[in-house]
Amino acid sequence: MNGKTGFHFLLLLIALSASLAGCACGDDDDDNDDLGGPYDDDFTPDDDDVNDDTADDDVNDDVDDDDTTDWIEPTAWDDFQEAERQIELANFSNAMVYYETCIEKLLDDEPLNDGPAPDLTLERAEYGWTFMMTTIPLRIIESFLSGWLSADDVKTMMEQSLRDIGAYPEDQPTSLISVYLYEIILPLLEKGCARLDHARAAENFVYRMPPMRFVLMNMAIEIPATTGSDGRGEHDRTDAHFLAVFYHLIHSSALVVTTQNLDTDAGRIDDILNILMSGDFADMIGLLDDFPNLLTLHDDEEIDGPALMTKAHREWMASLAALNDDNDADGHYYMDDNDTPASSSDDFVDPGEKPDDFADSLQMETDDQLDDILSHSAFGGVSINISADGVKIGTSGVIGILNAALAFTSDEMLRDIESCLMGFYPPEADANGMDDEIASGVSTGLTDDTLTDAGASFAADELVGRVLNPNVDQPAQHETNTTFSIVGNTATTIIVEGDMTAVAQAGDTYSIGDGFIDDKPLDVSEVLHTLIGNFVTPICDTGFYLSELYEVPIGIREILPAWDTATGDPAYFYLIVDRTETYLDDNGNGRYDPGIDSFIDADHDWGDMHFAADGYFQPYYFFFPDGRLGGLLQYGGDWANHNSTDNLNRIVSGIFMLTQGGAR
Amino acid sequence: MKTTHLLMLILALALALSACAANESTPVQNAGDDNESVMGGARIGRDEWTPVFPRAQSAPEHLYIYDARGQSYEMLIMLTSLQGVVNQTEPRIYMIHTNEVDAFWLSEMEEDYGVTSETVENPWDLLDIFADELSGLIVYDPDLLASTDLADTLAGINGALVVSPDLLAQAQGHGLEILEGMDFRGRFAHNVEMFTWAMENVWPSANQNAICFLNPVVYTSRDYLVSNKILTLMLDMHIPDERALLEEVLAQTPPNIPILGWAIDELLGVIIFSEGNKFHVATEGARNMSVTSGLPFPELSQDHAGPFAGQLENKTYIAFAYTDGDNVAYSLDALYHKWQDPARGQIPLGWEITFNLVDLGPMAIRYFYETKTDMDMFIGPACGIGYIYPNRYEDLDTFVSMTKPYMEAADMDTIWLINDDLTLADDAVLAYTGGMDLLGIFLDYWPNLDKGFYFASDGTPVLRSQYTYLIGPEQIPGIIETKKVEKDMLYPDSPFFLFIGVNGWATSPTYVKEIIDGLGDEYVVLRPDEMFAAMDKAYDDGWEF
Repeated sequence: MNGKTGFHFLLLLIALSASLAGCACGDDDDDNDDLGGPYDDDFTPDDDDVNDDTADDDVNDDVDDDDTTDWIEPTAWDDFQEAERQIELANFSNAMVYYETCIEKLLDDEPLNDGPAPDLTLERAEYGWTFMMTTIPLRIIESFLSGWLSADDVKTMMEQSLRDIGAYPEDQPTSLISVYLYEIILPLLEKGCARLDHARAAENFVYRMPPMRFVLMNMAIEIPATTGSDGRGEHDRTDAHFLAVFYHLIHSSALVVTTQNLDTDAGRIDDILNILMSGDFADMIGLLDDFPNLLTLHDDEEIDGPALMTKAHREWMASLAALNDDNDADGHYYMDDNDTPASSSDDFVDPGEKPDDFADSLQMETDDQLDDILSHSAFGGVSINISADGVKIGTSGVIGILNAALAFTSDEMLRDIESCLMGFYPPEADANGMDDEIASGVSTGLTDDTLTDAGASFAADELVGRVLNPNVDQPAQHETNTTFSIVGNTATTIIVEGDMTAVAQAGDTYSIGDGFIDDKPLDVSEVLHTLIGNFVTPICDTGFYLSELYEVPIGIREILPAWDTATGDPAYFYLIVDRTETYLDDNGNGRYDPGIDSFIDADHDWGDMHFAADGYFQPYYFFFPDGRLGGLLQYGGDWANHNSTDNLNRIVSGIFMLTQGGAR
Repeated sequence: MKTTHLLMLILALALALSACAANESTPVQNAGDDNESVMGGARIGRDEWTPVFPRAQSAPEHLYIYDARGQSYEMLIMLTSLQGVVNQTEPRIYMIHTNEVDAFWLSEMEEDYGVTSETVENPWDLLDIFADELSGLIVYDPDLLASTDLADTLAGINGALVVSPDLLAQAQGHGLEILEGMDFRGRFAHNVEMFTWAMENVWPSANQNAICFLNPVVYTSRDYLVSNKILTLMLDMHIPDERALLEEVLAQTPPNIPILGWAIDELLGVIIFSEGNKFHVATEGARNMSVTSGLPFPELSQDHAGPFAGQLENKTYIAFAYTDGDNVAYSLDALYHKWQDPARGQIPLGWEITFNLVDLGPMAIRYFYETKTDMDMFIGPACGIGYIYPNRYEDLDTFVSMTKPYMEAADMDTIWLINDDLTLADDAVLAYTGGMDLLGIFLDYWPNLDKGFYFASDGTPVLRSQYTYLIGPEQIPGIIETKKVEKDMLYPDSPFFLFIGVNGWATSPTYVKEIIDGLGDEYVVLRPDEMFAAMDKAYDDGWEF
């Protein structure tokens, strides 16, 4: 594992996002070019609307469709069709706007402005709006990931910005991020989640959306790669569920970030920027370890951190439920003691299961899926109907993407996130809203750079590097008082950089701390410690670092229930964890810390598979299907070899097993 | 991205109710003060012109020049208040603050407007010259630094000098005493208390046609604020109590007026201002506007792209333009520096520039217009008379009607629009094109996955900048490469259009020229307005974008 892994991992996530956002395809006919109604520009003859399954002609076609200046108020149906035209023209943000106006008109109390909108137009518009919204940030994300912006660039710009900001630099990153998210992003995500949920709840939801074509990472992306006879792709509940997984997940993540109050000052902004821009998780961890209380929880009138964290947890669970939910509300999303293998219509064979999630929907599809965006692969797993540079993303691509997803969602990071969301992280011992863990007292003298406490008895220079607030009651105009770095001290005097007389005088109460107000810390480095351990080995696709499994005995066998599409029967996978490596908890914190704790490297063998010690501390684990155990063991590292199995279910169940504490 | 309401309905009736709000002078209630003359009475050089922005009462004739470089913050606060008060009646004090630009504009005024000047070496000598015109002293509270904002507003209303406690004794030594009730040391505990008091007790006497949000550590632009008695505040929208008062201030003040200064948080600030039906005009950093706003109205003209000549080819047409000219300080300063680049004028470039300079800095906009070449063209600033997010501005028709005279004064037929969510509602486009005669619209400083050019429903060409604003110009080759792939996929047999709005702070024309020089035959570089003409040609040819 090297530092670039984190960056590459981000790229994979972007690729995943692209796959979500996408939907473009070469449309070589002009069936959808002409829309009728006020937007009609008569480039091509009118025809019927492929999504209109109740009445296949447009009543507006015969009205004013030959003159854009002869304006009539567009109906919801006009807006819907215009949105589709904009998609075909690769104007996705325009499409989003027209979907929005369509939705507004359908939901208002003016039935006359609906136009001849067929059934499911509302759900289709809501799905379309949500889908289009994913396209908005991708180019910018791509720009940043392309390496055009270095950490130094950002620092330079931020420092300039801070100079412009002047007296209040400490407020900027904190408040800007949180308030921006709270006021702008969260409502959008909430709306997106709700809109997708409408589509997910609509039985027989199908939207034959026009193809989307765009360029991302310099690849010509087309979705769908293969279309139906109408030149469109089929978006159905499977896609809505899948999109909902990520919307709820992003919503949850955004909620968590919103709650965080960066306890920072101007000097530390550089560190934060280094963390954000390095793309190197190892560096991030190092920096975060330097600032263990970097993040504190908002807990004020406007941003109620605890309440948002509760909501974040709900969204997290909603994300998992959109992926796969057995609906028995027992806290496990995968088969457990309550669930009985029974029916092939249930992915996890729980009698209480409802077909309202991605895994269900995927397996229940019975139509011709050649034009589906997401479909059940003939080889098991998921087929994604997207092409990049004219080449359809195949099984290997799917696996790559899902591996990335697995890398992101497996491991103890989930547990850490879950723990954070559940409030498992206690406040610091000295959490009192003040930075006074080193000392506090009342000054008896104060000059520009020297504070005297005649009653103190500090060891000489023991306070160097600490931070002095010479007046805890200073009339701060903002949240953070003016503090000073300590450059020396005697038993009774403290010498600082700067002039303290502007904010304090003799007789004020002072405090000495580490510069961090330490309320309710969220130790992000715990999460990132996990991230750094997640990587895909060059020789083994399944060689994820499953630190959760360090807590269980060597050789444990885990059952991963799966659906065998070839036989129509439930099947099970066994997970063998080869934990022949061990580590020494050198820093005594109860976990393995990459780069800190030492370990004993070892070879990994299973059957005829052999992997030599590679300098990384990691367990290997091996999947193999039921029936082969004990005899014809097959290495599970190459998932493509498991053609008769349901890779998706393996992944899903693996995720849930790891997050929910194990399965049997 | 965001936006809960992607399409703002345009309220036509609101036009009648508020169209004139920002154009009409509301007399300040301060006894004996002739605010009408400050606001709009000095219709210099163009009788029909009613400025949105307060202008100096008369043109400068003789200026006392003080080089303030290196002075302390306290001294600069004092001097800018002195400058503002003195220049209320006639522009007479001009200060050199940061670089050669101030000296350059002074030389322009001397050469082109016949202004004369003399230098004053000592700031206290400058005070002595005008001490008789001052009513007394206002002392701000260093422990509540935003009291400088309040003090400046009161200085303008009362004709007083703002001083820090450190300079108080010296100022008193020049025959000035603290005005009754004007020592703000320890008076207020925090900003909310102070500005609540200001809204109740100061706002009624202040200029009713503009307000300002200004970080108290900023000393620039204060002369203009003092001179025009503009209520100046500092409320941080990230702090709940201050945010609540900010929204109250927006509710209490008239719609469709400028908010000068800087909002601290551009995105959230402009959102809040737009939803409050006010427009932001970035003046933080602008200097000596209490002088330059008195200069005669400039006569401005520029070349306009005619119909596209010839046939469009199966090539990529590229245009470059500079961002950030909506910022008054940028147009007065940074733009001047870009303008000196040797490649400027040698390559086709668009320049966003604030036409508000016809009120605030006529010598500057005149200079740029007079020294441009055929390769340069000027673009109306985002998003008109002030910075708004059109999707959020309820009274957009009124806003456009206020923008129109300035567009005409600057002889502009293109404008740059920015939306916070990287979308643009068609209704917003129609509000602009319905209210003005526009050749086309440039959109946003940030790209999205859109291909970047389209026609609005009325056929107006729209070009979205493909430049990611925060990143440096080194991204441009990558943009061109990406768009090559996109053309090959989307329009392999037709013309393709690429608009790159480069970061105006970070990009040199020389660098752009290097990019242009390296382009192959499959590219055609156009002036941005010519690009619209080319798109119009494509539209007429039946291409659908």
